[in-house]
Amino acid sequence: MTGLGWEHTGPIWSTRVYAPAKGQDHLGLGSVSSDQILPMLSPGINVLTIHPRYWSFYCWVLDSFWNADRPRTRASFRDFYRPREALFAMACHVCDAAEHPPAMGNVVGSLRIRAKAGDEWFNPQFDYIKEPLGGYGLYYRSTMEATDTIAVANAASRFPFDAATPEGRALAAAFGSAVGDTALGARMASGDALTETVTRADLVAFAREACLCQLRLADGFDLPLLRDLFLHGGREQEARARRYTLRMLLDLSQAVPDTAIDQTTFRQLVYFRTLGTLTYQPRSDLRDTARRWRTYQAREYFAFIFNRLLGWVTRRGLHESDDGLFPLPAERLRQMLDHALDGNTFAQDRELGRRPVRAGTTAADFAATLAAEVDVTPGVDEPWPRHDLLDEHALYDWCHSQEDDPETVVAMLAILLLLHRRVGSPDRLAALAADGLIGRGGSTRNGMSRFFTLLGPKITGGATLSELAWWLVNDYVIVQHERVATSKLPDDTFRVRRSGGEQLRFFQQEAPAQFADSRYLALSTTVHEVGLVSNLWQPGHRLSQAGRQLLRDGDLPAGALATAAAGLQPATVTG
Amino acid sequence: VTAAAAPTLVVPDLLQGQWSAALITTFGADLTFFNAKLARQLSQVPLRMILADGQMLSLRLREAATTGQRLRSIGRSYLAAPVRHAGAAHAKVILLLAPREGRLMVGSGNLGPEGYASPGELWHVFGYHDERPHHVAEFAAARTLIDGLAIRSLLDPPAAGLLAAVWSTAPWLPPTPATATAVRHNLDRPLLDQLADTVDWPVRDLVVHAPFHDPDCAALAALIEQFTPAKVTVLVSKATSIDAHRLTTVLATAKKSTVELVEVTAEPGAYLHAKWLHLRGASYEALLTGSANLSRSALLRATADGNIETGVITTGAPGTFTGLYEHLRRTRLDDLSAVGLRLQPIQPPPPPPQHPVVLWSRLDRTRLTVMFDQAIGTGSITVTFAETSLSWSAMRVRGPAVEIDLDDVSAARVADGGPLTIELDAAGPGAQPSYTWPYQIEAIRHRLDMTSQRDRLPYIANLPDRDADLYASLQELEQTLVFDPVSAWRVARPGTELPAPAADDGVIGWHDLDWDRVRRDPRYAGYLTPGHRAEVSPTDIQVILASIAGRLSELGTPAAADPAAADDEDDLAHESDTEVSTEDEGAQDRQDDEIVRRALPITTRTRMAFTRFVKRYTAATKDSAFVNELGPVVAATNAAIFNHLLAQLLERDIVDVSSATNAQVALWSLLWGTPTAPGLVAYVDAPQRSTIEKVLAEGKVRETTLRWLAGSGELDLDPVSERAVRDVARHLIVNEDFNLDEPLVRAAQPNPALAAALLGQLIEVASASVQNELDDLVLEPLGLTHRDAEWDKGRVPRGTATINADVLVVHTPVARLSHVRVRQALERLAVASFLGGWNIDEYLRIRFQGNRSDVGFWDEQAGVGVTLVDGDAVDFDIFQPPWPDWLGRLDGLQAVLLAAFTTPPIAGATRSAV
Repeated sequence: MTGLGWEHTGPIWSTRVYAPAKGQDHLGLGSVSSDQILPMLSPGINVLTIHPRYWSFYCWVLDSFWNADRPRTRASFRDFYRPREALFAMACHVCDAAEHPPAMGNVVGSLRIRAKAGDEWFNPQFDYIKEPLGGYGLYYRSTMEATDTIAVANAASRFPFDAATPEGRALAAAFGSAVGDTALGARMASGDALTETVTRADLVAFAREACLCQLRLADGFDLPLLRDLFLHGGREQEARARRYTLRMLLDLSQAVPDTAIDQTTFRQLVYFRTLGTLTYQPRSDLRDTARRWRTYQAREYFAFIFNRLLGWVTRRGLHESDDGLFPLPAERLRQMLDHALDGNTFAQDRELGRRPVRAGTTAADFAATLAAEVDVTPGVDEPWPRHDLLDEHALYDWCHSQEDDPETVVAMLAILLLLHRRVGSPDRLAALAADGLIGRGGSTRNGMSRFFTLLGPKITGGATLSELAWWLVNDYVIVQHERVATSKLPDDTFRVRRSGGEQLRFFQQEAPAQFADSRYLALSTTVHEVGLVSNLWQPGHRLSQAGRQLLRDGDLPAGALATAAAGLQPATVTG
Repeated sequence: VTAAAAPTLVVPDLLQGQWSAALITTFGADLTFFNAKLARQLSQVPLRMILADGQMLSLRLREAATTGQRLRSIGRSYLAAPVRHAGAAHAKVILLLAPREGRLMVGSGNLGPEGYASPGELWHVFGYHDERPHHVAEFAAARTLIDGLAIRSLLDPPAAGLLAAVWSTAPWLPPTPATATAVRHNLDRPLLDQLADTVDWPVRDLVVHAPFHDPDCAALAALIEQFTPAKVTVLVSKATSIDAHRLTTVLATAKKSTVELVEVTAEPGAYLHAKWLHLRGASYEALLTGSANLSRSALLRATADGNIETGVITTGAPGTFTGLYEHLRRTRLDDLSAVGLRLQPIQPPPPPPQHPVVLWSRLDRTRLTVMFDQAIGTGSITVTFAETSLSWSAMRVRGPAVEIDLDDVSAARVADGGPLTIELDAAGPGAQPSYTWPYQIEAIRHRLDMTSQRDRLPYIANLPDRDADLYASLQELEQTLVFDPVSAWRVARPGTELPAPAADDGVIGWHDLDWDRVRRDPRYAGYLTPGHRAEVSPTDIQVILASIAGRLSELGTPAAADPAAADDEDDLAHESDTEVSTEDEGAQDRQDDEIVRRALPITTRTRMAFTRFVKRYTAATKDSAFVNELGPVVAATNAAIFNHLLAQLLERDIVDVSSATNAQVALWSLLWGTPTAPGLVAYVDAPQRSTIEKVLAEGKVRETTLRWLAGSGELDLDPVSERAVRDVARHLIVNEDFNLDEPLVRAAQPNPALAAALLGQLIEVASASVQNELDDLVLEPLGLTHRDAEWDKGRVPRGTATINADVLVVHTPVARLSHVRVRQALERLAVASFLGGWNIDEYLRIRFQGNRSDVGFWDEQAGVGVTLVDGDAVDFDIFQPPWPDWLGRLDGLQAVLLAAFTTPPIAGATRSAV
């Protein structure tokens, strides 16, 4: 008899149990914004659901599937669905409508379809995307369910596959009416297997009715229904939150009508509410929504600090340890931080005066120095004056590269101290406590209220920047990263790990620091494509009549979707 | 004890087993890792104790408390107790105990991903079983270490008090070794002295490696002095903490010496944390491995003035330890400065506070006892939990101990787990609060009382999402079910090696099994325990069946959340799926990849483990002799469990499709037979039949089977599996014992429209045929096969017109061809056309080219046919294809269901698929 522990007892070498993996969100902070805060601000629209007309298109495909004489299985739906989405993607690429933007982004399947855009013929069986259920399965399905347009197949519903709800069928019918007169639309609505190639002319004719860009003109079809859906669809509380965010977008756009608003501009507008000489003062009924968005962006700056420090520590640690070949004493890392603090040119670079910022500088002194330059006194509902070199965004902009210089450490401390004054002091925390966003993250994902409550006494207690930096790096970067990476095992996403208590091991993995997507692209595209405002990404954006009414009255008349659904013929069975 | 070159080991894998106690000693303890990975794996082990260096554990717990880690299982479901020693409590032992068996690991790795899950650590593993007791001395030596800590008052009294319970779970484990043992510790004698006792022969070579050396290399000097080797080789890595100058000085005292750079060959960056002393003589070799670094405290001193260390001393003939070096790459170092060797500074521990600090605390129902390191005088203390003060009715100060009678609400909060923050009111400003996780000994002991109950079995009906949980579920199933020769062997002769596979397919032989012993075992008896009584704990099998039936509450088993539940840290694994930026080019494709990748629910390893499990079941189920020994009720119960399990595994893609399908077919054939052999249900006697029917009904086996069969068309089956599923479907549709009727269909799919659709899918599955099969169906009654005919497309007269038609051309002459035989061939062709979905039913034609001009056709639209044989034409208008009986049954059922259908379940989702 043989076997480990019996005849063979060792010695035996251990082996690697967990395979290195790339992963993301290595401090677990991004999830607070994306999974906790943003769903409260814009439920039903997430970063991947860019174009509202996909709601119509997918409902139409689902409804057509259920109307076709086919097995009700996922495989059957996949075969039905894929050529239709491929055709739709191709149509969005050959669309010649005047309204079609020069480069329409976020068409599902673009990466592979793009190369076909010049072809005269298109094979609907083209393998346009890897995911079996394309954009529906990847992006839109969950939000369509959240807005009550589809019923998802699961063990509880016992549906073999997803089906459109009456509201979804109403959308499908409206979209079907829009495209029904085109030859391709008629084929796609039938049970046709779509195995034959399609001419470009047919695609163009279809695109003139079906393209994502045509929703704004679909007054007689799905536009009023989608507008109703995005303002009122799903649970009332969620619909209200979404409606208020869309209104805030319209409101905000009017503060800077001649400025193209991209995501970076949006972040600064919702946080500072100032852009150059322009100021955004939210309507009184949008005050709470604007404040939530401000808290959201504060959280983004906050999370950036720690993610940026993780990158700094990881890359510097790898450099010091010969790419991770040997462990580095934790004390050595602390020395590196102190050297950075003692050897930086932050004050000079940022024109902060002659007095340098050093490891022994107290956090209170540094905060006061910053506050002398950056006006942090306006309250949580007022515009915050900008500073070209020293405000949160200026420092973020300065440091979001991967250049791990000494100044980056100082800049991160500066952002932290500014945030503390703006949102983390006891009175500001109290002012922002009502909606609970400031506390999101708690003790597991570094909630801001908990953190700033701990930070305050350190500042008033005379903590130096050296002590503050080490506290951040040890407790909120290294320990937090270990917690997150350990919880992700068996995927080994460790970038740095303590070994034997006093040693640090570094691993060759990326440690990027970037904002989580604010959903601005999806939100701005939605308000534009449902006809409430012209393109916010272009200067000179103007509200439509419906947009003005929505902003002014707080809502648009509801019920278009329900009325359309009620007008549908009940479904019948054929054998 | 011998040693040989061996493959590498995975520490977490070796923790698997049906243990009653798990005891870990370690220097550093990564409790986040233990909570996240090992606690789940050891969830069914009632007693779990981690004994860690007091200083290290204290720092770790303080850090956890100040960074918001609750670690709520500490103290209440496992103990993490300090070893309060002035030196380092550095021993690294894993001791797993059960009533008749045990596993012991002694090595260099600390509790954490670095020590348990990375290369660079060295371990010894010892097994014990009542029938294989020859390593009992090693276990006893490990016990003397643990007991020695308690005797020296190095453990907190609550932890020390629990040791008796630990040892009671392993009655075979003596308090001291009766014979010499390889496992050593330094509680009484320095390890170097023990090594010297062993090595009583001249040492030619001394090879050493340790990640840490004394600043003055004193331990190395002592080794050289003790053994006076002819040659000394010091192995170092880039991470070795050593003073290169001192090393050179010490090596100068040796007769001959070298320094070599050493790396793990497969992973040069791996941290080499193993420690060993290898002594070679002319006729013998000796090896000391374990926890001891090359330091005075570790090697030269006993615990009284040194560390606490463990090691394994092994000896053998020359070459015995060659395997040790096979994983390493060694490079001679002539210039020590080339690799930057340096002494890593060790931070002195922070000075103790001037005020009393909490050593430990303990919760007994509502009484909280807090023990300080010194008397606290007349002062009071404040105890907060999650930033809220606790309330109590009384507080008594007895020297260093404070007893607090908590109110019920506060006691319940503390019992829920997590750190208490304790501040001494008289400590003054600047005092550090203490953090303590109370020992909840009663809760720990309660786990021991529950030892027979497995945590995950109540949740088998709905398998967990996480890979680790899935794997743990599989382990519990392995430990519960008796379903194949492997599991039967483990019941009959636990701890023994399994016999070698008897066949190429890896199936082990079972004919030598002691079936009487199997049948006496509680695991087997658990299958046969009739009905559950409230006052008796349900058997594991009853728990599984109740889980599948959704009747756990009837057993008094809460159907609440997963027992592996969810520390707060679990949530940290979650990464947002949708909020990555889409602004840059190519981001969409990366998202596609990322999301698709993450959609994979489990790792390949778990999938393979389940697949092996399923294959074993299949092989056993096909072995009728084995099934006979197992008995019909046990076999049917296994079938009910596997039927449900397989459906889940397939749905979640946790098992290889073909393997799962083969298993399903095997178990259905076992239950309901095949066209040529009856199933269990048919041939057992009435009482057994009644028991089996009850199991099948509660397990909803028929409903699951029906749904699976209907849905199998979606699976990507290989042709053989597809045919097997088709055949079993055809059989079950008409099998009286399976009893496919309207209530069964409605039970499988309550929605009438979808129930009709389900039957439509079933028709497709049962119809699935390849061309040759269908041709054979037509031709075999004529004594021919598909090779005797071919399909042709040609223009043929139909009424007054000429049409294009598919014609079956039989080129082989048919003996005794007659009008009747031609008509019957046409009728069979109608069936083949339907089954094959050929769409030629409107006009069927066979030309018997081998019989000159003989031909036959049937025109469905006209309702007439003609057979032309030997120049004689006969018209016919009665056409009766031999439709399979299964098709008739399904048609009938479908008609009934469609007739019953009145209201669509949801608009638009209602058309039949047929």
